[in-house]
Amino acid sequence: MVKEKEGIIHRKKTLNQVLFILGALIGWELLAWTGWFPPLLFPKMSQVFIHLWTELSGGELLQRVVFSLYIIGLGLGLAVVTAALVTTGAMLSPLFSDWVQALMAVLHPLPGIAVLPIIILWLGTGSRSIVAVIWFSSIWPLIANLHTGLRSVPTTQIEVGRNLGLKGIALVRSILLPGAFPYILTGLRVGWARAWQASVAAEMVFGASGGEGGLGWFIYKKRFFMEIPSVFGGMIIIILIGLLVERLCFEAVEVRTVRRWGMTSE
Amino acid sequence: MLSAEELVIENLDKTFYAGNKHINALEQVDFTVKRGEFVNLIGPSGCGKSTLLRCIAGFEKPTKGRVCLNGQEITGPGVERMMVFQSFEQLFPWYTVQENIMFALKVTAMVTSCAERREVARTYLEMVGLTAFADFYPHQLSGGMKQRVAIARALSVRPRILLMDEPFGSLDAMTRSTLQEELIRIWEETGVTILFVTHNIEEAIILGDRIVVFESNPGRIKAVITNKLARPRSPEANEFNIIWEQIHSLLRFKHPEKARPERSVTKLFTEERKLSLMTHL
Repeated sequence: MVKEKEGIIHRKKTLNQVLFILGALIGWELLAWTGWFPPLLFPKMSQVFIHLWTELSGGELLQRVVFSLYIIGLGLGLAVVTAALVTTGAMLSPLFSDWVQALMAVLHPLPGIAVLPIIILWLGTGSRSIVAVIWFSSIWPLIANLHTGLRSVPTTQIEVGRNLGLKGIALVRSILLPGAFPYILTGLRVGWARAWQASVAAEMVFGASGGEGGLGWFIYKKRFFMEIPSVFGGMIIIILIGLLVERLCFEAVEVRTVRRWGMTSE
Repeated sequence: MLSAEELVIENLDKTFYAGNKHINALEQVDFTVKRGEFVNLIGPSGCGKSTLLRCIAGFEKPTKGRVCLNGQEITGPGVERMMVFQSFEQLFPWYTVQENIMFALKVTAMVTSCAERREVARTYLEMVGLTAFADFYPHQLSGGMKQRVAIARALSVRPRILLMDEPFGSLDAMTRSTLQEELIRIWEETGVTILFVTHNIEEAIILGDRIVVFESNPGRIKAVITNKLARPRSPEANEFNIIWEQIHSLLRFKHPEKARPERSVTKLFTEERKLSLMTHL
């Protein structure tokens, strides 16, 4: 009964939000029709979607999407591995833990894109540099959340594990990691968002060598040729990917794990 | 059965160091628990009764002295000494009630096949009356239910001794008294030895065969009271009140001779009574 009612309320809310977005798009279209703004800078929404369709069917946009996802996956994957290693080290040695905390305090406030100039000097203007910026942008929230998550596991649960004869890796795997999972998920969410931002921003600075590049590069190039509807098209694709990943990955995982286990704070 | 003395605590000292200060949490604790006995530890907070339990569980190492279970010295945590905690967080939130028990059976390699584990888990859930909640997650249970699951999980791996650290301390009075009755029934059914820490005098008298009274600073055994009241025990009984007052006065006064012990009471319970402050008498 309660569940049903909640479902109805939830559906109503979603419908409201979808209608609002549609309304905003139509509003945009009408505003463009008035001709108050130069059409070159403020294209009609219908125009944006037509261009989007052409770009998609031409195959170039899809290629850019795949490239973006690949490079983000690479950077984020490397960041996850590094974060896991660093956190393990911090758990084993209090001295190392102090260092990591100092490093986090100093480097976390530094936006990933701010290190780009120096990374270009070190690694050149290839995709390696973009991966490095993504890595740098996403690693701090990953470490911070993993660290907090492991510390948030109640001592009692760890002691129950030890009582049952678990220690070392087995204890970490079967008690600490699941216990820290809500934080790990948050870390991945923030890390993913940071990775996106970093990749788009980095590509806008130097594009990519050899004509290879992701969505940031796509938008940058289209602006260069003043194909403004395609610029907006690229933005729409970024928004859609963001929504899809949130709904299909993070939310789906959250519903099946953290929320089912009652490990959320809400 | 080689000896009836299951758990032997010899000359146990436990000192905690904090900076240049040290606290004698336990001093010269010496006592034994027989197989199948139900012993309560009671005392003011900070008297070291929980520390003693943690030394037996193997979570803490004694500074001096030793603890032996069934003739073997305890060096670390072990599945033959299962602890039940006060905290409602002792269940793993990512497992259902049944999976919590199955997990314990799996990691201790008590039962190898998954189907069998399910069977055994069912049996223990039946024991605590929670079969209907087998597929619930811990966050969907009340505090009392969580503690029942914790007891079922601890018993499922067949420990020699069950160490209970104020397991009912956070429950309301009604639930607490139901669980006390059930614990007694489970204890009679399984014959497991139980060491139960509490700070509630009534709870100690309802449950224990013997009640070990602690004093604090340093944490020492002040008296051991044998409780021969017939079960089921009810607080209305006259003898109940006599024991209650005896423990109450032991807990209230540092020196037992100032506690105006009534002759009849001391006569009733002298046999096991041991006063660590003998020199004062």
